Amino acid sequence: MNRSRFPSRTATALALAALAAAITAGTTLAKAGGSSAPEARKATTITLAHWNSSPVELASLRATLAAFERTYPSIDVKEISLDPYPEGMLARFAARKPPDVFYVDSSVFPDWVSQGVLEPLDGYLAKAKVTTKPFFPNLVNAFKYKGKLYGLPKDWSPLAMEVNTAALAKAGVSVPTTWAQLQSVGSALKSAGQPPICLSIDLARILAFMYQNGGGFLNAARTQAVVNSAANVQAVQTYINWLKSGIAQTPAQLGVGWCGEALGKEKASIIFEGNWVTSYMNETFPKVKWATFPMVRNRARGNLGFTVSYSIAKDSKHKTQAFTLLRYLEGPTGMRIWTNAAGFLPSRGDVKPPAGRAVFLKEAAATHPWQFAPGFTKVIDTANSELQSAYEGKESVQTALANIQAAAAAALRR
Amino acid sequence: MGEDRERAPHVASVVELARGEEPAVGTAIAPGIPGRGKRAVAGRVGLYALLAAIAAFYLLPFFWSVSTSFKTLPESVQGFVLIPHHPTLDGYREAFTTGPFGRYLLNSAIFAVSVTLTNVFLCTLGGYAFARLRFPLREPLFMLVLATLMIPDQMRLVPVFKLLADFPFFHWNMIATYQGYILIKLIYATNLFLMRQYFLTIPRDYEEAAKLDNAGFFKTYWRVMLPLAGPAIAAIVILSFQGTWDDFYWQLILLQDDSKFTLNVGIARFATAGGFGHDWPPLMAASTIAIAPVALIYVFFQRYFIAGVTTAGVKG
Amino acid sequence: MAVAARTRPVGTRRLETAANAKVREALVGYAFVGIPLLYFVLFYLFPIGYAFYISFYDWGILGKLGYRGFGNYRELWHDQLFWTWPPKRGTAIWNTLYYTAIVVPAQMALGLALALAVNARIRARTFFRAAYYFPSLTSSAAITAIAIYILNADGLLNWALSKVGGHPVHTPWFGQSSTALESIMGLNIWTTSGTMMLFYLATLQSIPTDVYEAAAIDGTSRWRTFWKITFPLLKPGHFFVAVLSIIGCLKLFDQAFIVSGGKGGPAYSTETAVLYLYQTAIGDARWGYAATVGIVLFAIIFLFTLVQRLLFGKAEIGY
Repeated sequence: MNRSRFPSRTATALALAALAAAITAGTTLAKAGGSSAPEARKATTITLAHWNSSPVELASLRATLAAFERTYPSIDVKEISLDPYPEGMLARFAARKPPDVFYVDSSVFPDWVSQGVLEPLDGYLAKAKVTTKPFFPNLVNAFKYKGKLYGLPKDWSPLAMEVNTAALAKAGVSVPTTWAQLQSVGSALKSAGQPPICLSIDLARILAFMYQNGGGFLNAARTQAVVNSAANVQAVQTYINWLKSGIAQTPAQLGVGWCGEALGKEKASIIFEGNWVTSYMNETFPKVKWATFPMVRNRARGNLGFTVSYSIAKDSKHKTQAFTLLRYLEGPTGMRIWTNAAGFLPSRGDVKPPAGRAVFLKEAAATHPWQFAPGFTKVIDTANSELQSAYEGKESVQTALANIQAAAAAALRR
Repeated sequence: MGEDRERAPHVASVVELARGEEPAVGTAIAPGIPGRGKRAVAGRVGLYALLAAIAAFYLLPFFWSVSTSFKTLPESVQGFVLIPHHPTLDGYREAFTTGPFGRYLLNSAIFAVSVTLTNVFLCTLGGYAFARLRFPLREPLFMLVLATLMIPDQMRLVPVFKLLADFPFFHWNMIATYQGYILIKLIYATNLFLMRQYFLTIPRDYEEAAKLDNAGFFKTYWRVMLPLAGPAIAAIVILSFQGTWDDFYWQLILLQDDSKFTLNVGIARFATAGGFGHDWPPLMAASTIAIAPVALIYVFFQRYFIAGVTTAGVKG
Repeated sequence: MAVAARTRPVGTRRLETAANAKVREALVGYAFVGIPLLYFVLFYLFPIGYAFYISFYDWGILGKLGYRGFGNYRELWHDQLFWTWPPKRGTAIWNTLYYTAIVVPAQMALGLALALAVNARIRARTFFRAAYYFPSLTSSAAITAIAIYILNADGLLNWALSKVGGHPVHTPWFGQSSTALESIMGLNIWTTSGTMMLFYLATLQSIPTDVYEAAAIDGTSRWRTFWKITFPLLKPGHFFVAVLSIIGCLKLFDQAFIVSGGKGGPAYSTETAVLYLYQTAIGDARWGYAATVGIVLFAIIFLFTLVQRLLFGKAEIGY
């Protein structure tokens, strides 16, 4: 009983602590060191990051990737869904462990490419003798920077006018094509007790109306902001007046999250949304009688084009395999599988779009890409905020646009 | 040896709190000298009614949420329907499929349990050392631990994020991993403080007895101190579990991957854009799932809850 | 080894063992607190210095872009979204201070009222205390989701208001800038009142009864008893709850984020200081600037935390 067991006791305590630390370190090392682990002889695994708006979209993406893996058995694709997407991607870029292939929204493209996180594709395209000619030029140009191409558009959508045909029939009016007609149809709907027009206080909708009035946001070269124009003031004022007069309501007033939901719940008769509303209505509200019509116009036709590219990360460790995947997804086969399953519009002219989307395609000519300059995410937030203030009557439309102009000019200067 | 007793807290020890006694000595205020006249009785009835009304108001949103989780979407916007006419599990089904809130629930549980375990082990060990073991700089080091409570999470956001994104030396990326989040939440200083305070109140005789049996420090801790620390451990188990289960800030920042999301982040995502948006039954189903575990623990272990919150009271 | 120990002279052995024992105890002590200390140094102390370091640079997504010295601080000084002079609603700092100014007194008053109610000699005190404290322990995300549902244009609150007022009410409470932040105020006053109640309860119960007996003997009315005697005696409780409440309000984030989708809308009405920090750090990935914002916020919060520590020692309630 006099035997000194103390050293072993202390040692036990210290050892336990060290063991715990070692286990933690070990598992972390194993998990984190994944990407630098030696590549399996059989297949290389590359990651594809995306966001996810609906189960159908996810299933379609998975189907496309499965088809790819069948064609290229030496490449395994691990798809991860990030939410929130831009923040998740920025975190991965910052850690220098980005996914190999990923979505890039046209509006964040200027920020990401100017920070040097995207890989230029020209070299790969030339080597593989792949041309970008089949793609719609507007869309491809959205992903060029300083003369080089940094992504290929995977699909796109303009806005259009979606109408509850039954409600318009009850009000005894036909589908409007101009602002004046929209106004009178709105009044007729109101008198007939039918659901109103749904309008969002969102630059991503109001800007289309600005274009329709001959206004805009940036000049063609994207060096100057042209927000503070008379045409814009008039467009925004008209938009807000529609809401104030009661012929239109915001999603919040209708108790919904967005205008698509309003159309589905038959709380709105006319909305302005993109192709994404087609699948949404078909899946969630199949009983509603509705149809897509061309966007209204005023002095001119004006529309916004929302597009997303597949791009490769500059820090990717499997660029060759990543390009193989990209080439497949952007090729006629891959794009056909994707767009038909998900109901999206192909960005290539040689791929037939899914049925019932012809109206959207016809908008292509009047489409301005939803894209600005680097550092504009804050400007868009400011714009939405100013538009909301103007709508709530806290400031005049002139002041709101002047503030947006100032913010845009400041961002361009940097 | 006497100094340790002097530093014991002024409030009732955790043991007494856990037994259901009030946090401090003294007795309740009587509403004047209690009378039995009619006015007094009417006053009391009025008081009870008021208190009951307030209690109902406080609990109504939760009942409302549970009730809605069993409704169909049209019924959920129909005004005040407390008991659904045609209860359905569709809300839950949709939450688990579209969500996927099943995975989120699992992640919440994994994090809460892991953080509770690390807290219990490390805080009891550390608390015992700070209370009973003598080593140089013991008191300054303890002050240091308490001082960290003054450092708000907001200031730590950028450096901690960068630390986890690219851990110096080893270049680990622990963003969107289980270990990253658990590492950040390894120890709550409040728990360490609580355990130390508690250990200070345990009479030294137990350790003397253990020393006579030639027990080493770890054995003393394991066989003697831990079993005696029951109520305090119960308190920190509850505090750790609830603190992690309800945490939103760090979960939002550190779990960038859909596969690691917890209930809280999932609900936040779905309450605003995409997902359910205004699809109330699944959203309320998710909220109910998020509230239920803590609520259950609370119902059964209320005393430990109150004990921990009141004694520590240090949520800087 | 045991044999050798037995044969050593008694005196020397005791000395050696005593010294050994001290060293051993110290080592074990350090071993036991080793991991906690390492944790605090790594994730609390080191980040302070690291934050200052980061704030002096311009950081892009991939790393340092350039040394800016105090440039980030100068930019923050002129940042119209962060703060303006004169104070204006819709800026991060003033939104937060406006929120704090309203919520703190409300929380204190409500907490005190509930504590008084629960403290009265009534039956089922435990039940009432449990009911009032319940909202405080639920997850902020879940509660905010429930609030969004109830405060929706066609939600329960509007339904009740319509019934009471007689005409239909469809206010989108979280959807317009005039009511968004105020709705969050109401929500948080309700959820945190339980915690404040607990703290007041503890202080309340530590007031010795002789005081009341003396007042009763003097024939003081209940109202005067409360205002002239109880209220002043609650001073430690007041201070504690006030400072705790202020610090909590300055850190407002969860509800503002969920309600506005992280955008601070509508029209920047829910843009709080911490939300601004989050947007700059995670949204814009401007780490240098974000670190600056964090440090300025820290300075403000630290001031209040210091007050709390100085006035209350290690946050022990009571006399």
